[in-house]
Amino acid sequence: MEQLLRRGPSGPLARLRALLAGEAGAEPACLQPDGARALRRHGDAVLRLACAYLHQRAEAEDVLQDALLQYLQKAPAFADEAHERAWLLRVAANLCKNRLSYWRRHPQEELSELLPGREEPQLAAVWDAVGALPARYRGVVHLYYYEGYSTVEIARLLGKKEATIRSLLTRARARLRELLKEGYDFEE
Amino acid sequence: MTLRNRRSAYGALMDAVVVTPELEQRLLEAVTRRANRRPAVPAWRWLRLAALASAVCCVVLMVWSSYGVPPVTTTPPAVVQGGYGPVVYDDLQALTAVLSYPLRIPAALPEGYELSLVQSLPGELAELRWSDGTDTLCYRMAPGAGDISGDYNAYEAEWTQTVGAVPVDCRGDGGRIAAAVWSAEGFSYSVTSDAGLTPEALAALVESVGPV
Repeated sequence: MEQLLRRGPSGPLARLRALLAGEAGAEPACLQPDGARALRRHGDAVLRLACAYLHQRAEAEDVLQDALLQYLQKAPAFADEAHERAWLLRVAANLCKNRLSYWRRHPQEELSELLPGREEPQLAAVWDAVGALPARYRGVVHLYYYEGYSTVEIARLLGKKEATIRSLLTRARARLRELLKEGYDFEE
Repeated sequence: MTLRNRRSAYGALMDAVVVTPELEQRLLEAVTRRANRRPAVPAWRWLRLAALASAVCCVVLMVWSSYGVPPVTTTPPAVVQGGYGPVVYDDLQALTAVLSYPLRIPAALPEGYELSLVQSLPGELAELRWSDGTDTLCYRMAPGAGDISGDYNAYEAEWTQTVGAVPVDCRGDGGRIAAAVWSAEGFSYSVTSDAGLTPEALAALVESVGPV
């Protein structure tokens, strides 16, 4: 299965360059797309981001599957693992936005799917508060607070201005503070 | 304790979201299956292909028509042959300029007739008309032999009148010549008159035919 998911060199030009540089037969320096490896390394992060956006586990798993498919069909050779992760997160974010846009046009019945650990009241309150945020806030909050990306990195990843990301974060914090009150634990 | 350091409630919630081995296996199988499936061409792509094909057809037709069909010009053709109707000219010089043969015309016309029309007809047929206000005299010249008068009326009499060494076929009523046709040196000539010409007037006319 892993062999099927592994792609060859990125292209004839890249192979020619490697040959001219005397690297014939050697493993290329860049990271070649490999579906199984990507799933092991970044699957959790992609699934979490999709959960943050969509708040539905099953839909998030579908997004992960779609992102993996796009990875196999379209992914370039990556400079390093961080580049690969950022690419997958960007694809996942776009896929989530597409779904949210579709849901706006075709309203779905709310699914009461529980995340693991949601049974605890405190966790449930936080989950509901984050879920009450607009989707564009949720993605930024997740990437900033959970994945640990800076606003500059999030801006690059989502294709937005840094000022927009800062603004979204500020508004998200205000809404969360309002909803969670003393339970608010988001670092400013 | 803050969310930024991942020990918050949100962090705890998200830490629990993982790709289980079972999910990993399921995803890999599904993705492998989908990756090997021939992608369906979406409808919009078919529409785009159809639009592209239509555009290509239009371009091909335009190119083909520009090469395959003779170009339409507003000026009269240089050679009269191959035209589809009479072409009227301002004067004799304009007509002679487009004919491929030297035009010969009568110099001796009955008194009072003035040139009223200069035109050519398909087959390099040159036609001149003179009018005296009541009668019209039509003279034609064209390469070849045969009746080029275009007069298909039935007359009381048909006879041949010799002018010099040239036999002239005449048709008319009451001794007057309505149509006369003759040939000489590879060209056909004809004269028609609404009022009719006398044999003397016709003889003078035929004898006077010469270069412009």
